[in-house]
Amino acid sequence: MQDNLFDEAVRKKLDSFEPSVRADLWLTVAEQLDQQAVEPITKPLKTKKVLRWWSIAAMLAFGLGMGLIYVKQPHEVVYLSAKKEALKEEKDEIISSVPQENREVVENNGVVSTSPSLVKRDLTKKSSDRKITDPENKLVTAIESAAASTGNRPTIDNEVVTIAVPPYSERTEEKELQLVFLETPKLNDRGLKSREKKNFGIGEILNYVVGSVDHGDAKVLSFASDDEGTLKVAVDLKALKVKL
Amino acid sequence: MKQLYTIDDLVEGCRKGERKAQESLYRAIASKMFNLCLRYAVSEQEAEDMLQNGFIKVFQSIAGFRGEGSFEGWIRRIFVNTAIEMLRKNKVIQNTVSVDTVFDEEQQTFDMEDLEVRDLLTLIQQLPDGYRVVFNMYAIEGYSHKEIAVALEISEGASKSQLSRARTWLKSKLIMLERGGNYGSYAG
Repeated sequence: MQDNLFDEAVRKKLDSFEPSVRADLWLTVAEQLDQQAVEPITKPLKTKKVLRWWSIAAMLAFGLGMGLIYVKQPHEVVYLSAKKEALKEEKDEIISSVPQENREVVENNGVVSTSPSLVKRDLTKKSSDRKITDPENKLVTAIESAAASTGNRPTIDNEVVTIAVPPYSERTEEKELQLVFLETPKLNDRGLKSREKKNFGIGEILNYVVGSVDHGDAKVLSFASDDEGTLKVAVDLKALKVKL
Repeated sequence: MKQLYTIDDLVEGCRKGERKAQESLYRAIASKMFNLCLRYAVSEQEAEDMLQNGFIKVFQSIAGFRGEGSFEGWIRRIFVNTAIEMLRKNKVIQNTVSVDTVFDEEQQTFDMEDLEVRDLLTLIQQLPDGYRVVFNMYAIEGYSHKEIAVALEISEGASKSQLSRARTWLKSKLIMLERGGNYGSYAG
C-alpha cells in the first residue's frame, strides 16, 4: 500500500471514531477555569486598589498642603522700613482720638467708700461690679471698650484712674467723691506696632514689579491687598488689548 | 427547550467568559478533541490531561481568535501544540528508536475495513514517541515537514525519516494483527 493511501485509510478510520469523554471531566475543566480566572483578576485589582487609595491620599495631602500655603500666603506681611514722620503722625492721631475734656476730673455719683484712703479700681472689671456709674464719663467707657476689645486695639496695662475719697468731715454735696487721673496712661497699642511695620503689603510690591515691567499707566496685571490681608489680582483686558 | 448556539455565538460568549457558552463549546467538540489527544498520548489518562489543558488554553486564548480560517482548525492547532508541549515536558519526544530496531517489512496490502478503531488507536499509542507525534502531525493533521520541524525543533530530514519509520512500524503491526486474525481483540 502506498504511503499516501495508507495515511488516508488511517485518517478515515480515526475520523469516524468518536470516543466518549468522562462525564465529570467538564467539572474539572470548569474548576480550573475558575481558579485561573480568579488569579489574574484579583491580583492586579488589589494592586490597583492600593494604588488608587495611595494616589487619592497623596492627592488630598498635596491639595491640603497647597491650600494651606495659599491661605497662609496673603497674611504674611513683608516688613519694610517706614518713614519716621508717617509713624509719628499716626501715633498722634491715635492719642488725639481720646476726648480732651474728660482728662482731668470726673465726677462720680456712685456708692461712697467709708475708708479715707484711695480706692483703687480695676478698670478691666465690668462697670456693674465697679459700682461706679457716670453716664457722662466718656473716658471711662472709651477705655473700657478699648480694654475689652482684643487684637490690635489699644489696651491699658496700668491703672489710670483712682478714686479720691476725702475724710467724712470734709465731704460736701458737690464734692463727695472724686476720680483723679494719674499720669497719662501709656497705651500699649499692639496694632500701632504692627502698623508701623506693615506699610507695604505684597500687593504693593507686586504692583511695583508689574509697573516696572509694563512701563505704562495701564497695567495689564495689578495686585491689591485688602485690610484682611487677602491678595487680589486684577487683569485689565483693555490694557491687554492695547498691548496686543 | 434546548437552546441552539451558532459558532459565532459560542465564540462571543467564550470571549466574555460566559460559563454556559464555554460548556456548550466543550460539549460540541470534546469528543473530537479527545480523539486527537488519544492519538498523541500513550494512555487514556494522559489523553484526559491533554484534553483538560487544551480546553483551558482554548478558553484563555479565544479572545485572540480573529475569525480567519475555520474555528475547529484553530482549536485543533491549540490541542496539537498542547500535546507537543506536554510530551516535551515528559521528555518523550526526544526518545527515538535507533535505526537498527526498525525492521523493513515487505510492502503488503491489508484490509482496513475490518480493523477496529480502538485497535488502530492502540497501535498508534504504541508507536515509539518520536514516530507517533510526527505520524500524527503529518498523516492525520496534515502538517508539512517544515512545520513539524519547527514545532518539534528537529530537522526536516529527521521528520521525514521518522514518518517513514512510523509507517513501516505501523504496517508491520497491522500485518501481524491481520495474520493472527486478531482484529477487534488486539487492544484487549
